[in-house]
Amino acid sequence: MLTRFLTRLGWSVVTMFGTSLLVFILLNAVPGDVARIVAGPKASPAVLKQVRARYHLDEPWWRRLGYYYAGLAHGDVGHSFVTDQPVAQAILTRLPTTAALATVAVVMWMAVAVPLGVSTARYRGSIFDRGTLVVATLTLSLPAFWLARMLQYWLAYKLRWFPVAGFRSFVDLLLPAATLAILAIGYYARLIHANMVEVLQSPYVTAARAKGVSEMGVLFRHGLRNALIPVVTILGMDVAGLLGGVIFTENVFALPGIGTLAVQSVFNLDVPVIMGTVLFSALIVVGANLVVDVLYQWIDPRIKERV
Amino acid sequence: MNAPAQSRRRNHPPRSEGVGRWGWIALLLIILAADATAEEGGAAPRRGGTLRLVSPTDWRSLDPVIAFDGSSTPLQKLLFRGLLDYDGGINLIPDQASDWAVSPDGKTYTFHLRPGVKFAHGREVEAADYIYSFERVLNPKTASVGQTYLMDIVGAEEFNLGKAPHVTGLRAPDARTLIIELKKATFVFRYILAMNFTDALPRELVEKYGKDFQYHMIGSGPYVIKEWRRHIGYRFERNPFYSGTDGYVDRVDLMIGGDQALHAMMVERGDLDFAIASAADAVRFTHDARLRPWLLRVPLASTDYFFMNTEVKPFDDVRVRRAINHAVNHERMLKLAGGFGTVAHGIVPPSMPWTNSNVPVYPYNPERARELLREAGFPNGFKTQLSFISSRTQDSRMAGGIAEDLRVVGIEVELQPLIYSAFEVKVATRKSAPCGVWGWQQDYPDASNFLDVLLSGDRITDTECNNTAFYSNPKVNQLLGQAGASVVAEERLELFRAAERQIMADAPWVPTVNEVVPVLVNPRVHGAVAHPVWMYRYEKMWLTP
Repeated sequence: MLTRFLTRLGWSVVTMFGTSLLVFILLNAVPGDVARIVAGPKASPAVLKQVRARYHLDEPWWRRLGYYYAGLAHGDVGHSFVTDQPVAQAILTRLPTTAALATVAVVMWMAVAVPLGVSTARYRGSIFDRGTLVVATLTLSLPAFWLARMLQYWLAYKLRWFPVAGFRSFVDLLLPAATLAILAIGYYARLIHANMVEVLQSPYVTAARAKGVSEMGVLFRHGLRNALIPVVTILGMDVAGLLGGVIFTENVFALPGIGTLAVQSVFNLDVPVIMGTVLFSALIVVGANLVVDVLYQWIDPRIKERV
Repeated sequence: MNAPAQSRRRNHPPRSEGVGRWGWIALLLIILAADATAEEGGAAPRRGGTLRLVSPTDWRSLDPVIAFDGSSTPLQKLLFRGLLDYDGGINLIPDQASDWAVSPDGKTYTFHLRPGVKFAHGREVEAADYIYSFERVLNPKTASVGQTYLMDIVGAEEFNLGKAPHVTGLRAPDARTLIIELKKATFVFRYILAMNFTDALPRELVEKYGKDFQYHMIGSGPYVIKEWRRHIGYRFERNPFYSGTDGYVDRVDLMIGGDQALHAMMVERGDLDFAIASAADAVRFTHDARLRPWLLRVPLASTDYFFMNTEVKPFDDVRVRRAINHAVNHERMLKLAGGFGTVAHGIVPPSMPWTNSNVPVYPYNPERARELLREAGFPNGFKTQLSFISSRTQDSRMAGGIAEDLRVVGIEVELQPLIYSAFEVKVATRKSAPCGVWGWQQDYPDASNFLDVLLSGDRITDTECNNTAFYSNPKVNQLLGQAGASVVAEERLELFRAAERQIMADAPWVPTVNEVVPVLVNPRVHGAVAHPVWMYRYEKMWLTP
């Protein structure tokens, strides 16, 4: 178990290194002069020279990469070219917003998707099941930015049921979280449905029924618990992948999270912040993989035995 | 903004009986007088409340040595003040100076500071604070954009290059007197002294906080930053030691984030007081009788333009450049800009304010354009590449519009969208970009800021060149040189007008639009008026309860 964990950890470090190297090289391939962005359009050649010297922009890219890794080795992720703020601080101050948004979203979609998946499996082939399938397919195909804007326009701006934007309290998260949840509910409901259908046809479920276990007991104790095992894997990956979804949602709802930080840094070609947010995302993905690995073995001991 | 309905409410006197005709007339006059008084009284600024602002993105800093863009200036004015300011127009007035004088040779500026002006931590502002602030701008460690503007001060260059410990041209004979000596008479230096980077800063706090001063900014303006959460928002509260009369609201909250569509919704809902509108929202507000009064049009002292690199074929031929001027449909350019603005007929924007009669105009005339192209040896047109900043919606639209107009006269245009930093490098490098779309907003209200900075042949450099047309006409260079050396306002104006006429005759640009920025203002906000230099001034706005 420990060897497997350490091996995975080793590969995670390799993945992080590869990601940082690739992003750094790609960013340096983008045409343009970062000094211009830092100093502004009306900066004189002398000022541009000073800015380039300050941020080592007048040195070759491989040397700058060396400075970057040297900083990383000392726990320094760098400073923003644009704001001069430490990148770690920029990310950490925004992390609570993104984490809260992601948590509320996951709770929302699982709270709806689980009962929906179980009941459509129980009433397989019914109008309810087919209707759910249609709605699930529809929500799956909605673009995040469009859905976010529509919910904002109708529910917040027109009907005034929710705040339009910003993050002052939990209530401000409901609409953005609902955006992310709506996009995921359909997929998860179908996933749970499919697993439940398979599980409900298993011999041990037939045995449970034969033993006189109640239908609710069959569905939730025997069916759902087993049907959720593959869902946990996908959920772990999706939570990491949520960072992609929050970019649109946070920007539409003006939430000060990592998504808005990422967008702003890209527009400003703020290399240290782009590197920081990409590495942070990579860290989340790698971390989620590790957690899923451990959780999977805990949920299904047979996996541990196979290992 | 118009005076609010509430402030016009009259206090009618009780109706009396048996007053007769003259009595009624007298009563009517009293009522009218009372009404007028009520209006005046209602229009007087009221103190209190929170002004709620928004910006889609945060700024690098509001520190005067760093921040240098149109959008941060109104915020900086909340925090910092300097020697000179503008009145409601472009006339300079002493701000935290009690008086100022320029020597007859135009080389020495003497300022006497107003007594009782204090920084927000309670210490009085002294002449030495200005010297320190100027030297901070000139210090290469701050890499301030402002250093270019202060290089005319005696000893500035030596200090900047590390050859002198102080700028010898800055002197403070006593705590309230500041003397600035220039290497040469420079008329525009007075405008430079009204720019934000010459504002006073307290040395002890700047040195105490070092790089972190931007998070502890203290100036002598009407407000201080109580809270600044990067990319999230700002909260400004009163400077208890401010001695000026403006700064009416108790607090200014500024939200960072969201796009213009969201901001428009928030203003309409009453969640925000003031926001720049997208063209689409501005049109929506214009066509809605209820919302129309909420729309403030702020003429920007800027000119958007299509430049042609006069060192690159075929734009080295004036007939080609004139042909293109005839080929571009200016009215359509204005529509592409969302209809907000005016058609530009010259280099210098009219909102500076600026007038220049007899400037050559090029009416939209594709036939004449074809004729000129034939004369220049291009009967079948030619191919060229047009660069523009892809993230600027207006520039993208204009680039597309110009490409379509030029196609009509046989010129094939390949559009080259570039990110901002790449665009800047390309167009500012000699013989790199054949043509492109760009714009310039004034730093100070003087024609030299457009004509000299953008079109003087004497300023051409191989890289990082502001003269993107790489245009040089010895006659124009001479006129601009004479104007730069003159300290007589009227003489300078005439020289600049002559230079603009010649430039337009040589047609290195197609000036397209002088922008107007549509701003949505909640009716509870008063005093929100367009300013020709600062766009608008938050510290002069007040609120109805």
